[in-house]
Amino acid sequence: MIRDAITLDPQIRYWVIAPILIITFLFGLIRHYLMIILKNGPSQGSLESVKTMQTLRRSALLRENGHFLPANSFEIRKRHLIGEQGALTIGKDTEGAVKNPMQDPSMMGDQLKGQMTNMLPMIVIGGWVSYAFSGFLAARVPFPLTLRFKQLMQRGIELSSLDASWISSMSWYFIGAFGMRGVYELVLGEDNQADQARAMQQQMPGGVGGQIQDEQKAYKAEWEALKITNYKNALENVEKMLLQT
Amino acid sequence: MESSDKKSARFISQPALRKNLLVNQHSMTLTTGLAGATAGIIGLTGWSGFAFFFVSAFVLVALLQIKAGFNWEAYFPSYKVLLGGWVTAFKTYILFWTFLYGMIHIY
Repeated sequence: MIRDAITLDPQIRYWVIAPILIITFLFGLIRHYLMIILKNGPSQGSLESVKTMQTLRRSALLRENGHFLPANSFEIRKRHLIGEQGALTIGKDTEGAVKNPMQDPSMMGDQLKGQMTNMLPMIVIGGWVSYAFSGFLAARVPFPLTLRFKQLMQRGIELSSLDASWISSMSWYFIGAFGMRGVYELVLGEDNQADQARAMQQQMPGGVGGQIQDEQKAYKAEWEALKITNYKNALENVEKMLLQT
Repeated sequence: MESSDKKSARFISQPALRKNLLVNQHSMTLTTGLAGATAGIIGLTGWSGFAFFFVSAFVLVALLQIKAGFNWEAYFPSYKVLLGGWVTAFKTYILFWTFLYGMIHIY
């Protein structure tokens, strides 16, 4: 494929491309540590909500792993949870009283802080990049793009006949920001706050101190799920399997 | 009478599963980064670049299978684990590809 072979100033390489990349990466690191500093400690939630979470989790575990128990044990546990005085039954029947509104602000605060910390540096650096490095071509993407991309990729460059593959420094910044996510995971390990997409998924952790918006509904769902769980002995043929190996 | 649904009766150890998934993810990131760099250095452009991505992804999956002794089920709950995370890997590939291509070929 023949393309226009434009030669760029090698100084651009050193003073634009590499710095933008390094800055993007370093800012991701800063964002990660900043999030850790600013984040509220893991909110425990009230005693009630913790009890609720644990009960629900216990029921879910029973559903999932119950078939490793003997039949009798499974039935006992099941009846304990969904019987007359069972924890799930009681939870199901009590009206959803307080919705824990006072704990919502802290959740909201966390979410808001997370979003701000993620969006703000991106906007700031994007603005700085387009201010400081505008008006010249920075790099070239190695694949052909349609003309529609020109408007996006070539801000500040007024050449209408230029191949859409040549990009401005701003779009180089965006390529860097998106592609860095994989690298962040390598460097920072799991659960890094620089990962924007994952940060958006972390709205409702539902962990030990998670909030349940409608507890009664959760109880009800769990009650019904447990009720229809049939016991199936997974260890029935375990002697045969042992002898076979 | 054999129990027919042996698959549903597996006990999955959470830490081990998490570690396996992490290994999966890291290897994907590293290989796509390296493949992107290679593509950039060689000077692949356009469709051959994308084809190279698919080839390297295929090689990666093949190597993982060999590492797991072709017994994927023993290490992961299902084959579906392979599906996640490819978009991020693709973006990493693009990044390294563009970067190296720019470094080498535009001067």
